Amino acid sequence: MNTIETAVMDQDSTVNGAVPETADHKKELGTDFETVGNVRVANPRMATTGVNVYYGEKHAIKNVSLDIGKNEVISMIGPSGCGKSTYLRCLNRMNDTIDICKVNGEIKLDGQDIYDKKLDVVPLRARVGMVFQKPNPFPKSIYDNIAYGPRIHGLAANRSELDEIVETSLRKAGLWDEVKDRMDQPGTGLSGGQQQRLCIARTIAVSPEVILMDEPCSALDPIATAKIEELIDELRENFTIAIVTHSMQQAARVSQRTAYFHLGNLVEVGDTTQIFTNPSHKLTEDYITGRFG
Amino acid sequence: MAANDTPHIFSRFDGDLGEFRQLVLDMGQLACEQVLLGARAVNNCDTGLAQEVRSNFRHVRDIDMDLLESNVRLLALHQPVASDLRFMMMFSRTAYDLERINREAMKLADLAELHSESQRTREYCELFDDVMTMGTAVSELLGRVLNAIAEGNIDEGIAVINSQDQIERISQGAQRRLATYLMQDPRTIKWVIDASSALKGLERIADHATSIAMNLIFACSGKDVRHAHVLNLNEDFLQSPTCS
Repeated sequence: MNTIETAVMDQDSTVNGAVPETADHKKELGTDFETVGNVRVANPRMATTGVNVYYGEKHAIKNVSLDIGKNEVISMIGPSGCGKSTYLRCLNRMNDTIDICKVNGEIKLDGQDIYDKKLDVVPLRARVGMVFQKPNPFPKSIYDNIAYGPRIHGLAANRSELDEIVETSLRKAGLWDEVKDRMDQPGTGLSGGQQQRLCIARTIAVSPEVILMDEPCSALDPIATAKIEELIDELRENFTIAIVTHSMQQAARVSQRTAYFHLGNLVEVGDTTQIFTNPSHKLTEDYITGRFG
Repeated sequence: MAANDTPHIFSRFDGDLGEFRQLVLDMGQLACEQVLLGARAVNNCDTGLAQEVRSNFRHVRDIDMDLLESNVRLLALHQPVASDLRFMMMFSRTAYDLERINREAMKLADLAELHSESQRTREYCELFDDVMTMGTAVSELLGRVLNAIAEGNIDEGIAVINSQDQIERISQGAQRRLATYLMQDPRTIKWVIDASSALKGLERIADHATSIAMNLIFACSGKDVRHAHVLNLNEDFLQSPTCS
């Protein structure tokens, strides 16, 4: 396995000594397990059906079906190693970069199969952008960080249009006022929270339809986290957002629907308020109340 | 779904929640005794019992203050969700109902002391027999619902709500008898009013017991049944997706 594969396997495996409390918590649910709650929504932005993911012999995602609605924030929660990040990466084919990873099933974006052999993944990843756990601005100026995507996708006819895209993206990310006077300075010189907002601005500069966020706040302080959460709430007006998070409180605050994963299965999905006040499945109840994880 | 018995990973949460629960149950036990003592004090015109109610009143009030502190700490530090949150809300609301019950019992004690000062004569004492009957019934109802809370027994909670009819029948019967006394001898008006007032107070205590039972149903099932018709409270209703 190469470095990326090893890193991904390590990320997805059980870490931090999190040991399930009872036999039920360790028990795998199998591929014929039926998710509790309504996996389907009307007019979804993304629709996945029967998705299975394998890392070599390891069956990481088991027959997961889930719709993501337009202009909704859906959070994915679950213990370490349950497959949340693996599933998220399926939605913009980031798993293609991992040689031993095999994905089957159906994943559609606006009705179009994203695993169609004729589909070019580069524009796909502009339409379905991703924000990672650790902020990763390019080693370029703040301006060029944002302008890079629109330039390579040919989204701006001239400098003036590019400037407008950069400013709009930074305003939407709530960063414009903080950086407008130093656009030529390196993006890496910003604080952690600012870097993450820069990455979000970079994502939205190419006008995506969906934004995938993999634990976007886990490396940030509480104030920066609050700003990102506020931003997610504002971005929902224009984008569809799927967020993986370890923080139950964050999932409860920012999302309208919540999906609980357990050992590769999607156990339960539903309205966030219902999941956090009266979950239907015992595994969901036990996880969110802190009985295991 | 009843209270979650699986131990929390963070053992202090279980400890704190357990302490909170125990405080409510202690308060409940005292409130039960208060109802019985208050009714007996009125029935027998017993100032000794009235003093005991007064002393217990302060004790219940002190527990109530400890409960508020415990409640705030639990919410702030542990941010409970799902069944933990529902059970905490149940205990918190139950504490409010028990505090109200304590005040009603105190009013009974005040009435007993007033009658003692007024030297209520023997001939009027039988006007208050129904206060004792109803006090016993209400205290028993309260005891049942508190046991139901301790056990997380939703069926008993439903049974308590359905027992409301019995309390109403006792109350209505008692009020009719008081009306009869009044018609026979208008000089009894002062005592009839006081007896009626005591019965009304006991009815309110029964209402609080019903409220506690409804809180229990919410905690166990996630369903808010405060505005549901009593006859519809059965397994099918509680398992239905909506509360209608």
